[in-house]
Amino acid sequence: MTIWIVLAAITLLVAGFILWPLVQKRPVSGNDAIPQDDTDIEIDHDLAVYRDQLSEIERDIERGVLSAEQANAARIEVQRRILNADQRIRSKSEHLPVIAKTSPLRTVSAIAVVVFLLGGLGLYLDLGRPDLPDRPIASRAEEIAAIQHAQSVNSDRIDVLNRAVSDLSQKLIQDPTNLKGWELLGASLMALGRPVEAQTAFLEAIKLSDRDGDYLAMYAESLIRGDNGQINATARGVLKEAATSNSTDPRIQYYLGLSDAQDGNIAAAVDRWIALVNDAPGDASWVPMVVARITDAALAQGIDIEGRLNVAKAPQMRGPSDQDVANAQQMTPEERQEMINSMVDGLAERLESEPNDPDGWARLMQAYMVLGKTDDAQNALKKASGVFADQPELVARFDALAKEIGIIAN
Amino acid sequence: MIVEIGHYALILSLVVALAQATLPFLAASRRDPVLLAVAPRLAITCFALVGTSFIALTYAYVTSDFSVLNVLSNSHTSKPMIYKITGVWANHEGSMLLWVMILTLFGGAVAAFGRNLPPSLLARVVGVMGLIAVGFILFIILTSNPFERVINPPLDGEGMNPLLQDPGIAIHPPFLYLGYVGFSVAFAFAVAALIEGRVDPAWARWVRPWTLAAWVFLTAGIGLGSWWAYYELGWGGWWFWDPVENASFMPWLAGTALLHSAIVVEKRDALKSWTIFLAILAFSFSLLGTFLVRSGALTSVHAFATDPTRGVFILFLLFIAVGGSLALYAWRAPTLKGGGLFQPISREGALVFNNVLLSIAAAMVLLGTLYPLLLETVTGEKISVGEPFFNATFVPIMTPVIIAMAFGPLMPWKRADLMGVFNKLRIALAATVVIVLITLWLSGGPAFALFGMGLATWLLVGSIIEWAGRIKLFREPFGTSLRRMRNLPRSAHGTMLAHAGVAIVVAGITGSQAWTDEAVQSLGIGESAHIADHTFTLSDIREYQGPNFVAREATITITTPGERTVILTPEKRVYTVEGMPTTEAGIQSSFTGDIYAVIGDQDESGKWITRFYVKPMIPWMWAGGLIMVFGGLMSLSDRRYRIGAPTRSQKSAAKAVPAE
Repeated sequence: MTIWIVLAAITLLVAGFILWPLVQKRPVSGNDAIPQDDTDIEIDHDLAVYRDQLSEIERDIERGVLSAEQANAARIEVQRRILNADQRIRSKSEHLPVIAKTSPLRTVSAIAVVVFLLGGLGLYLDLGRPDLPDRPIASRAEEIAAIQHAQSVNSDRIDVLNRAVSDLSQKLIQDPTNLKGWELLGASLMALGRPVEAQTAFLEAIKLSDRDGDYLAMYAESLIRGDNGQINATARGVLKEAATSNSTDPRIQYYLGLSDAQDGNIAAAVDRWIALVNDAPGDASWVPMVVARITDAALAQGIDIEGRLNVAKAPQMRGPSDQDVANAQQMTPEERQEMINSMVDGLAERLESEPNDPDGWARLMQAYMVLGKTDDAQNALKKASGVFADQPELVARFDALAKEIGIIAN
Repeated sequence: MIVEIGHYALILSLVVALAQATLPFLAASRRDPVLLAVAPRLAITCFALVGTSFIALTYAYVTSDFSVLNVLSNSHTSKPMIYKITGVWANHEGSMLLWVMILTLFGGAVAAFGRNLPPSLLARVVGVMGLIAVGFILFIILTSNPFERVINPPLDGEGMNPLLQDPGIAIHPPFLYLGYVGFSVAFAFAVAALIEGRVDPAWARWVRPWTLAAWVFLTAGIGLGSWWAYYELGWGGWWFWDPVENASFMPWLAGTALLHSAIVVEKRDALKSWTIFLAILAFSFSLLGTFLVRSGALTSVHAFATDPTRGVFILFLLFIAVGGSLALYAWRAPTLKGGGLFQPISREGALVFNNVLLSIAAAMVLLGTLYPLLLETVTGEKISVGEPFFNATFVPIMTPVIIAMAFGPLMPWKRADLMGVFNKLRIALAATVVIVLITLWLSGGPAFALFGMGLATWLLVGSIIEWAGRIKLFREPFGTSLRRMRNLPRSAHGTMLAHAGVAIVVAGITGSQAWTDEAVQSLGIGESAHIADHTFTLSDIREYQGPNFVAREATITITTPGERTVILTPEKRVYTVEGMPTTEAGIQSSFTGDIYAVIGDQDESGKWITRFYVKPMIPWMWAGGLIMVFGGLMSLSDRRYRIGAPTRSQKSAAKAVPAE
């Protein structure tokens, strides 16, 4: 509100200052006078210069720079300029229209100025962000504390993962045929953001499992992450092989779709993803992410997906009943917010007593992020990582999710 | 809220500039005194608004408000306060805002101090300034808005180019902008004069102080820029004929020519059309410079922006401003009546000579700057036009200018006797011969050094002779001379100082180019290198943590037989946020020259790479520049530019008494 008062005050001040000469009843006397005969003023201005040039000549004579003869010639030249100026201005003023005391031009000009200023206000409404307050760093101590907290959470998590990697490596040196061990090592390395090292682990797992489709999918993902998200020929080959296996790992179809998209074939990608979502088990946590992808791609490319997505597969696991949703639509925004809050609180309470529910934790983190409660989301991440500290695979999953929804920075 | 007030003020300044670009022309053509009184108010308001938005942006920088995208991209909390402030213009958006603020500052200043101008001329000048302001404010709002916001601001910014974190570079853009944006006033006067169809001595006198002020600022800005290059880039060079440097040098050459040709209009009512042309040219060069730097056509430390839409926009503005004004010139200039006649050998003739050569010099710089760009655009071939081209063209053009500079001020108006003038310069010629012989005896050459020193002596002594003649030094008792000196118009002192400053610059350039000694070597701690009588010893190396950088500081002890020991502490810094290294040279300046040391990295054997320079006379260059600036200021304070506004009472007095 204050800002509007200030902006209005600025506008009025500007308008008042500019238009002052127009609204004045009659010229005030003194230096600011607006003389009626402007021909005289113009001559005054020229005369001031030439008079000064004449006196300069006098000073030059005094200094002995000019002889009397030269000074005379110079004086005549300046006097001729004075005559010229006078003549020019007089002749010009004869052709001039007489200006009425109140000319319509003045009114039009005043209106134009006001219209311009209003136009400026309109442009500001379009470009400006009057709703955003200043955010000087001194006022953001709380945020800084939160970030520091998040960093400590993050470093705890990395400690857990690093320990897991070194333990697993030790075990695998003694028993290199431990298939599960290679898988865990690969997953931990992926969570630590070391996809190239994870590739070796997954390759071992593929060898030991006789090219099992699930391991092929994990390997493909590590290749893609190692190539900054690009699906290269190797990764595509691995994915195609995995697709012919009996693996139901959703990553296979997802990345094959992404590969289509990277080749420019968005329609094929959308087809593949829709099939993936429609075949997905009801409570798959990755469905919303893929649905979002589909919607984005469809919007960007103008592909009509109306009715193609299986509505029942909408991402509502153990969520509110249809009745709840129907009620929510009739609520005021405040009431709706309250209902969502109470549902989230319920979930958090349940997880306190029954922590062994990885999907529940994931949903809690997502819910907090949707509500904008980053701190709570970070706490949930920390707790979940603590509960499942002995299962690096799950920690890795939480980590990937946290990155995806923005709890921790990428 | 302050940020948003700044944004609003910027947008409001656009519409006020729009009014400023239209109403005053209407008022002037209808000669409506009330509307004429509105014109200066528009210019003053426009400045107040742009100034407000500039202050708001500065506030955002000072308080590290990263919800402003511009602050986020160019600042950092760990930066020292001074660089938070200078960071405002050390980026594309902010520097454009500074550009426009200075433009409107000049517009506002003309409006505020323009009471001695006829109201219709003032209104038209203000109107032209408004037209330029509209173009550039629109440019800022549409392509480079510094008030763009970030909804979820990070907690720290991305930092600022460390090369620009230096006091010299920090204050040089405002000076440079005051300089080349200052020529917009001369441009506006020229366009207004073309519209009014009148150019006369009074006009020349009104436009002169603005041109002079712009020239002073531009001289200072160029000097500061080259000084910064000298000590910050760590190669001991101070001018690289870099296109961005040329961009500031071209308006300087055109502006210097304008300054001189305007004298002829003022004193003799001649050279009018040419002067108008130069005024258009000087500002066109400024716009060209802005285009080259801001469009990203050039990549250099100055070119923050590489957004093609910005380049196209400025190119468009350039075409409108330059094309429009030149078209107006072609249409109206033939109607300007010529004034006083003069012989080729006269003060006017000398000034024409100066003008022609300065213009050719500017054209050469233009060619050398644009040719590589054009060639690359057309054929894709990259060439670099560097020092050899400019040495081969610029030096031969400027030599006659400098020789003639000693003659010019000694020549009377209308017609002069060349032999008589030459007689007065006998002492200068003798001094030149003596200095050349001394130089030959002391240094043994090279030839260009003898030539350069001779040229400098000729101009220095010639300038002093003219001044001494005016105050009759040694020809009258000293007291009389002193009195005459006090009575001399300040512009006469200004001429002498500015010309003498040029002489000292020439001497500095010559000396440093001819006699610089340098050596690059690896030194262990305690080891020494010998350069031109000096022994440089690397005494110590230490590392320390600065506010936003880590530095390696070397202690170099320099001993010279028969002189005091000098200790220099050059540094190599790495700015942590940006991850960029910079060199901070250690420099000891004295009257005779500089000792300059740079510390580099460690080589494989663990020794330190060091570069040492002994550069005779190089401080003379900046001293000369300072003297030129001082001369300009002296001239600016001349009483004839301080004629007050005519008042009614003065007018009646004027009719009775012709002279005051």
